[in-house]
Amino acid sequence: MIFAVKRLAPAAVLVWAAFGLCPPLAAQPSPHAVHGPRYGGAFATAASDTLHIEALWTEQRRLRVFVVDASGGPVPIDQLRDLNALVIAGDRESPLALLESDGYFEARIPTLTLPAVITMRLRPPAAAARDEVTFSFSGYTLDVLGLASASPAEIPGTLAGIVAALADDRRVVRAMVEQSEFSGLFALEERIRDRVLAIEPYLEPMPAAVRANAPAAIALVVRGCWLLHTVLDYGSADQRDAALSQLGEALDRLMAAVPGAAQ
Amino acid sequence: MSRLLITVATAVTTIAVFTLHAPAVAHRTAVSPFTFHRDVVPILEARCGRCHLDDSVSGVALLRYPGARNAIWPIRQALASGHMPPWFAEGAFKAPAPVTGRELNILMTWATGGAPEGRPVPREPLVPARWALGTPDLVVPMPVAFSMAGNQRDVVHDVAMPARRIAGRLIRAVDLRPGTPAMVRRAEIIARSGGREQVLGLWQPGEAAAPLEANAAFRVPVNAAVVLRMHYRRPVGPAISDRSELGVYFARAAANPITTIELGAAAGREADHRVDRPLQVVAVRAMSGPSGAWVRLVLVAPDGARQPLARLEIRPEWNRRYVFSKPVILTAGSRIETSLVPSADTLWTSLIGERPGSADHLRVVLEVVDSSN
Ligand code: HEC
Repeated sequence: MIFAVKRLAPAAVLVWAAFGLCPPLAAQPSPHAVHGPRYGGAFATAASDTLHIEALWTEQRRLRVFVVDASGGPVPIDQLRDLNALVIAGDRESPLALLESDGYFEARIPTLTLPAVITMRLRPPAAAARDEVTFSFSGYTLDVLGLASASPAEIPGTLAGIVAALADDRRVVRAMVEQSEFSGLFALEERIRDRVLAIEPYLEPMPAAVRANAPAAIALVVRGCWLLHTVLDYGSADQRDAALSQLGEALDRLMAAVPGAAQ
Repeated sequence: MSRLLITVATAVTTIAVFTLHAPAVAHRTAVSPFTFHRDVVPILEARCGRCHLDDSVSGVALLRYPGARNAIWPIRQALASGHMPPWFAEGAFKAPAPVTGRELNILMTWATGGAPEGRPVPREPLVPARWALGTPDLVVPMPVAFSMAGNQRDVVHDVAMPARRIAGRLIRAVDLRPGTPAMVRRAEIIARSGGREQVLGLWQPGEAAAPLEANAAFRVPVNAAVVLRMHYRRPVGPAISDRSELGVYFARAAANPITTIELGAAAGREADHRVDRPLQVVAVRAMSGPSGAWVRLVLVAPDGARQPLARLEIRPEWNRRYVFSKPVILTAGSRIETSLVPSADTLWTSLIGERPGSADHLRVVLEVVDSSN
């Protein structure tokens, strides 16, 4: 599992896919989590690359199922109406009702306790069984609406502090590569991104050479972070490894360009 | 039943929910606080717009919401891999302003976080300059239009241009104005004489022809033919035709004529070029080589001092001339070290679905003028 999870109470549970056939570059199934636009969750991709499904388990013991198109956009309501949707939890089958005004499906499952195995079936009328696609979900996160995002307190208030924190992040990146231990990657890339962007305001009084080189180095780290994020969403393990080492190199370059300790 | 649903067919989703013990930090949900009209368009206009208008050959109209919205996955790939904006060199070049870290973060957050549209903001439409360097001294249209049939996609087409008013002259810059921008992917402007081809310009969409420093100019041989090597790419749709115009900027009679130095190196090896007279380097271009690999050029002074001159990534589709913002002085007896770093980073290739190039012969060209002039 390369994804980090955290319990935050009380909140809803975001259920997400860690497996799926991902568009369009992954030749083999790979870890996957596309971050949804509205619901704060992650999607499983359908095999056609045209629809994503996201499920949300709420404290009120309701399962909500969101169906969006491959780029996270809405699916017209009449197409949703065509779907015959149900959910199987334990030995119990419950219909998934379309809540038209909210644009999602919902099932109440009062008897369900976690952990549990939940199967969702969304079937267009007259669809053939051979068109079936199976997703295995292997994790969940309680992070709804960014509750667990890096707090501003994690960004030190001085340039020296930021650079020192980034040096720590650099060590984490190196250790991850060396130990093949990849938990918390999304959180790591976000933290690095926040920190490196926080350097910009400090540049103005810096020597000309720093002002000339630092912006490109900052942009390179930001790009490295997003590259990692993108391959975590859609890529393969090889791409993840390559993105991590690229991010590490970008951090090295940043350290060389910004003399943080001098502050 | 809708086509969308037929392709999706049935999705059976199994969810295994685990209890987790180890506290770890969850990732933040990517819901973009940035909206298209308010936050994204100004960046796209400044950094991408000149190549991504409605009729651009890129085929990706970024300045309107539907076009950008449809392209969010390619945008993520292109930005994260560094494929866009296309600038594959490091060095003291005349370069368009790069995308800053903050801007990149806004674009990526928006494209990853649901691409919200927001409320439209009134804005003047972006109108690209007709000729980036001002009105040319001479404008030569292609003698006849070139048409592409419905089954053609990429075509390289040499156009013999009327050369009477160009041959024998000193030329400061050339530029191209595509007749049908949607089909002109790139162009080489070449003076051909005695079986030899001299590159006068490499045109790329959205690119301003950078004037050379050091009063440098190309001397076009008296008997030269002028060839426009057009790389056409037909957009999806009916047959289409183009009649581009060549713009020529003449130099003053006292200009310094440009000569070229050819550099090459095999992968993993270094090659040296010895400079035998004082020179100034005004521009560099990577003409061929294994795509995705990096060429590193280092200046070694006679006393052994080393100074990086340039790093160029080989992208055959993006052949261009990189013009130094200040000419680089080469003293007699100095050396230029060329090394080829094979593409260790296969990320861009895998992200944009291209394979790293084969071991094409590396050819890097320096454009120089004599310092003694
Ligand atoms: C100098 C011109 C130029 C600039 C500037 C430019 N592009 Fe492009 N872009 C192109 C061309 C030409 C293509 C067509 C593909 C190719 O030939 O590489 C393209 C292709 C693309 C694609 C499609 C990629 C694909 O896989 O087909 C996207 C997305 C894109 N550009 C986004 C951007 C964004 C975002 C920016 C600004 C940050 C940008 N471009 C800046 C010229 C440009």
